[in-house]
Amino acid sequence: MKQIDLLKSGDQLALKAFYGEHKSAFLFFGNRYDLDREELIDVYQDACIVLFEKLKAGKLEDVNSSLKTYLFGIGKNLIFKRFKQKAKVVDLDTVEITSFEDPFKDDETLEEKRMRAAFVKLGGQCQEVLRLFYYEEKSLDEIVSILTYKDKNVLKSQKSRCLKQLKDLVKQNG
Amino acid sequence: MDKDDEIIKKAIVRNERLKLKKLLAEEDELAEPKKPWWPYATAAAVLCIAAFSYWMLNETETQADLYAAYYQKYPNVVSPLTRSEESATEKEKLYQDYEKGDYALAISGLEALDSDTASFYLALTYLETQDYQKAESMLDSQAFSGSAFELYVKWYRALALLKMEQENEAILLLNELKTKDFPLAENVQLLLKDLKAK
Repeated sequence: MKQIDLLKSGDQLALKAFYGEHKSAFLFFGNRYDLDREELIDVYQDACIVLFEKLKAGKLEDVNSSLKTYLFGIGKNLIFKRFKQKAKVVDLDTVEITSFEDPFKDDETLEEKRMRAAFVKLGGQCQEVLRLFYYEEKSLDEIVSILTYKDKNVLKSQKSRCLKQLKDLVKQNG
Repeated sequence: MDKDDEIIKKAIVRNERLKLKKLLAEEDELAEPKKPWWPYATAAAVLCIAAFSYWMLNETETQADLYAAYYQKYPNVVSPLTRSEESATEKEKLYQDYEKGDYALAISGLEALDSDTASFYLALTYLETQDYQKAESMLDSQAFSGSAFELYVKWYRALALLKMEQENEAILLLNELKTKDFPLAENVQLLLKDLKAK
């Protein structure tokens, strides 16, 4: 299986290999910008996550450039977004800002933090149902097939139970 | 999607991304950089400043002037000089000779080695000693194809060709580099622009 197909399938080992493969080149490339090494690595990790999520979601089918070129484009974009946040002087008119979402752009609210803490306490099956639905954005039909539920109604009941458990956990922890 | 749903989605998405981030950070811990990072950084910064300064001057120059404007010594990324030089092996000392400018020593040692890295630094040493013919002929080798230095080999060969007034061949190489993910891509573009403006 080709690397791109492995990434599209969500293979995390392939992501690790891809990350290691281009890291040095990215750091060299990114060094022209005024960021320290740690921050540059942080940006590189975020860029890899953005690329990985786009590939998994099938949003890069019509990209002609190589994955590496696309990755560096995302990285450059994220660097400029950080500059903008810090109000560093960058001539943004000369920079092509496309719509790459910064994966950690918003500060986490207290409610979200509590929700996340509760989510990790859920049982494995509930986590998987909710992860597929909310993160992978799979349809109920797809989840039925992936997790081999008997039918959609069974899954719907399971999902409702999981959400109730999640909310109960938030209340308990709150 | 109601407000609760939005919060749940945001929390789960963040959780997954943090897990990926942790996974990649683990990869960093496992894979320590094989070579020091800062010489590349220094090289890139120096080369970019040189190119930018030249561009700012915006004057018509000869090919030799262009060489002088764009050429910068490639750093010793094999065994950079540190305070603990004593621990360097004989081979490593050759690269340190190159770094220090002891080119006669570097040449005699590097000539005896048989590796892509040694050949690359030997060619760079010839450039430093202004033996452009020898440097260019060493860099014109298929042996570098696929090596870590491949794109730098093309860059320095293009500069050597420029110095020897073989502009068309230099442009061919620069056009090749233009399409690659090369850290000095901006310099390549600027040099091509300058050559066109001549």
